[in-house]
Amino acid sequence: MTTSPAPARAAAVPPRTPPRTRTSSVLRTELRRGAGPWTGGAVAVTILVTMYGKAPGWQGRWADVTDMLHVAAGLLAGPLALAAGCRQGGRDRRRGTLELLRSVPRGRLRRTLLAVAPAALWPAAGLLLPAAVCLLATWPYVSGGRPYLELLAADAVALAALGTLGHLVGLLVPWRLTAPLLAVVGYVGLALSAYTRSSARWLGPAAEHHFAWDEPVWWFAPVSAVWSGGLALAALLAYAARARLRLLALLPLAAAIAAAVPVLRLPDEGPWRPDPEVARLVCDGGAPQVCLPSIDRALLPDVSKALAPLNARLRGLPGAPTRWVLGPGAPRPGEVELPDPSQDAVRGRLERPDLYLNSAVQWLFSDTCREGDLGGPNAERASEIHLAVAEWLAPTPEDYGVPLGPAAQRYVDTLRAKPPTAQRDYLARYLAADTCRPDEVPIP
Amino acid sequence: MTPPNPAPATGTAAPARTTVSVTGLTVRHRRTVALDALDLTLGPGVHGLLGPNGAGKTSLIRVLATVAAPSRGRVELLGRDAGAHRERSEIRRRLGYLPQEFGYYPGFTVREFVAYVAWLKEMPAELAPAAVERAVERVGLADRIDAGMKTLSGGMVRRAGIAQAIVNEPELILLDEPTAGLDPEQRVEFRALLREVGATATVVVSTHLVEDVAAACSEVTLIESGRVAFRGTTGELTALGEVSHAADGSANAIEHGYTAALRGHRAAASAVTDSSPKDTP
Repeated sequence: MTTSPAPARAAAVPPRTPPRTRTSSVLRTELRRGAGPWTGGAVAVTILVTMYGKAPGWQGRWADVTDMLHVAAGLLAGPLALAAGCRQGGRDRRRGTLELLRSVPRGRLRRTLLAVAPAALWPAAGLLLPAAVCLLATWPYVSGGRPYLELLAADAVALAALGTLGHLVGLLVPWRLTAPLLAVVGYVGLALSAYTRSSARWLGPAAEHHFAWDEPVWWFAPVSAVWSGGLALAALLAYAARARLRLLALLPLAAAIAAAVPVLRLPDEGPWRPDPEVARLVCDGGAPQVCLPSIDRALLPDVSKALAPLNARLRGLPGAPTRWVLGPGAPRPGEVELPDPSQDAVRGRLERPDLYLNSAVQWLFSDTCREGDLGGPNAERASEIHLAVAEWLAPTPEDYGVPLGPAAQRYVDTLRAKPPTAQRDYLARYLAADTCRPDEVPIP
Repeated sequence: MTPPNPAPATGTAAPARTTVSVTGLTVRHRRTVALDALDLTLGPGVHGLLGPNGAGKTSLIRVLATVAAPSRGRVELLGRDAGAHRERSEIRRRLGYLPQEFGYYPGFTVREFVAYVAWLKEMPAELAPAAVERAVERVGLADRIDAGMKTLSGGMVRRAGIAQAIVNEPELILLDEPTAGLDPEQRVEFRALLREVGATATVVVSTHLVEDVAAACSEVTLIESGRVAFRGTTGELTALGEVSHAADGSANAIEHGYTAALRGHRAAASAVTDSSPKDTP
């Protein structure tokens, strides 16, 4: 310790009022030190590992990658943000700095805002980084549409809100197991909210959506951000604002409630509506025609090629479909719904056309039968014939499915042995039959 | 052996410029009375706050640091009422406090931690960086200013704690057991630092180490059972010890003074209790 004389007080003592504040340097310190970067890293790794495990399923469409990121962020990163925020909230109690903090003039609200920053910002950053990576990895393989960046921004706000709420719980609950317990409770709560059938699920940050040709209504992302951010801000103000300013917490709370109202009034499909441009069908010139939504335009040649052997058998047959289609709405008469090719596509290519063809045949013959339709003495035989016809039209790949039984295999052998005209004749009779009535199913 | 009567323990002799003025200060912790209608005035200089464990030293320091609210009484610090919210904020800007249990953030460097406290003390942003370096230099940690707090030894952490207490050039500095964890050489340097800052500021050092008081403090306040048992200069306390233990070496004189003052206060308190009407048959 040095004992050099202190400089003249007039020069050293700062002017007392008004105190000017610059929080950028201490904010930088708060963000760089402690558990914040680890939290961001953990969120980023969690999301990246999840996305890697589910690739390439999401890699062909903007909606798929956004939806997968949304579920990973809400269901996995959300509880992580809660727990990390909770631990950060208990920091001053663990470190014994509360006594010192009580002696300083800086108000509790600003101190809390600064301390919350790592808990709020790092999980959000931990989402945005892998999101950017995944969007870049998707970019080369998409055929249309746009990335829903506003939904990702709303997810980042939701993670920041969860981190903030976790921080407040950590401040208020002085228990060692609060953070892990909060993570478990958060996971269960978020999962339950995601899978409930009520429209309240769209208020949670993990609700899943399946249709790639849909787009969210324009107001959904900002309203979601107001909902989650408003709740967190209201809780923060209620805790940290001075008594006279505590009523200010009602403002973000009112905004959050106002944001929840239109979300709760959403129909069953939530905020998603078909995007006419994305859902527009793009068809090949074959017969039966193969039509995909424009977002899957790049896959159309592969899908047409995969279906070619089957289409060759169906072409011109009475009862055969006129079009294979994939898109919003139920297929019209003469149309058959196609399996989603993106499930079998890898980076813009249909990697397993044999599997896709097999799926298409299953979908071609799938029928909704009434209860009791498939009964009777010939039900077993009809079932064997269904399997045999599907196998004849699209042989099951060797590494997929289970081998046919001897009876079904006999039917397959019979069908294969028939001359082409007899085969076409049989297929026409099979297509004309009501496959829900076993007696009507023709024997090969 | 009956100790000689100590100096009057009124604690009310006002210094030339009063920075701390406490009147009828009572602090209760549930049923225990930590401070009992204590009156005290302090001015610039280094004041030692002595007393046995549980005497009320830390309770007094915490009230002066505006951390704890008194149960009763008036506390005026730096000419302002510590009970008023607005004035308390102003007091806190001009206050330095090293708690007995000093907590810190291990991930921060020394510079970052002291700068963080400077921000908490609402120091003007343009003055803070130089003030941080100056404070760290004054406690002898200049060469470790960018080292992580978690890499410091116990003594260094204590010095970093003192640096955060003096970063805002406070006019009132409250140090609760500041020499705990310092080695003898650091303690000598710390006492010199205390004398330096005490030239312009009011420094209150709560300690159980009488030698710290002898070496660094100009005035001593001895607290016993929440009351002022002795108030005077270090020389007066030493003289009290020399009278009571004339045969001992002078090195122990202040310790003897401490003991004599304490026993005198206890005897006086006991006499008052004995003569109180409720004890009279």
